[in-house]
Amino acid sequence: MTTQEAVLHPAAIVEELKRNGFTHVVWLPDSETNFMYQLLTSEPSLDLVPVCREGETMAIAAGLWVGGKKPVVLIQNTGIFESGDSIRGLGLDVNQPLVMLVGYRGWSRHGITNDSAARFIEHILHAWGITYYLIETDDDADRISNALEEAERTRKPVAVLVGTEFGA
Amino acid sequence: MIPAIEASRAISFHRKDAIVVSTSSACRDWNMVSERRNLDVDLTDCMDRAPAVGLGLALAQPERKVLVLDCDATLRTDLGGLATVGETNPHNMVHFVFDDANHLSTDGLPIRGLDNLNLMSLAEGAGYSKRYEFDNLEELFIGLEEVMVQEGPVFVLVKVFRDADEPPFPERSMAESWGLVRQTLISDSRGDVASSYLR
Repeated sequence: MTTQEAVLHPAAIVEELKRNGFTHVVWLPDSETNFMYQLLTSEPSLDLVPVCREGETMAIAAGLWVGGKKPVVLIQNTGIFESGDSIRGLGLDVNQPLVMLVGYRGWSRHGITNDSAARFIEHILHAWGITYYLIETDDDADRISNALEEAERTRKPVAVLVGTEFGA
Repeated sequence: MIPAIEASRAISFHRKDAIVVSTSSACRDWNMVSERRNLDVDLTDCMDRAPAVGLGLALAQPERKVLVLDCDATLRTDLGGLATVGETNPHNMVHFVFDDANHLSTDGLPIRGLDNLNLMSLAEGAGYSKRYEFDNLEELFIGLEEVMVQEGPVFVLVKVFRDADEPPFPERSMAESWGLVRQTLISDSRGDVASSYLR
């Protein structure tokens, strides 16, 4: 018997973003999300907004949301740590229903991780009372819809942890 | 040097239906003079994020002007924000920075070496298409006529001073302020209200 490796393709995420009517992807370009870049830039329904530092993503997303748009943030878990005060002040305190796609650097379901970014991220989200969903394969991509539904219902940021390297 | 509250009044006079994002001491002043509070996004928290919030609004509402009322002390805490604005290049954004001689946004505490920072050069290097500097009220009042019709992003440095007794922050919460602006913009877009700058 052979098993096919289950992977997450960028197209599955982009399709989910389109299906939910997201308008802008606010992100910090980095090596982990580089794979999505080509797809995102060729998708006319999504505008890319690159930032210099992750904390800005929350503020730009807040401005987009006040202006009537539906942004999604795309950063790494390390960026969540950097964004802490902005998530508090410009996400939680202003009732922004924001979906945050978060690269789960260091994630492993097969053993101990030595990466402190992976060890701390879920604890940090718990501390802020932010719900999160984990996606690892194409079959999980619809959890972005769950996250959006929850964000809009609770009027709070919700995280989607991307616990994988992207497949080609 | 210009009394900060008078600089805010001058901006208010030229504002028309622009969205205004104000922060720190600039937010205190703006709260006293604004006549369109349903289009005012107050930052009484996360005060360094005014340019980023303004950028998001400018992208969401390309038909309207977005004015950011920032302070030197808040801008210095997130200078990278200048680069993000320059890279994104919002044509409808005007970024005012009040250079405060009294340092009231830091409760009178001077920031050592802040005068070494050349904000005009930084804005130019970051890619702001036009830069202006004013230290005289009459020139500001007249100059704003030109500022408001420029293709952005525009950077405006205003040399101000403040009385020791600062006006209070707005009583409404940020959530109330932001919710009201969002509601206004959404209902305006449904009514297809075009910006007076485009008429």
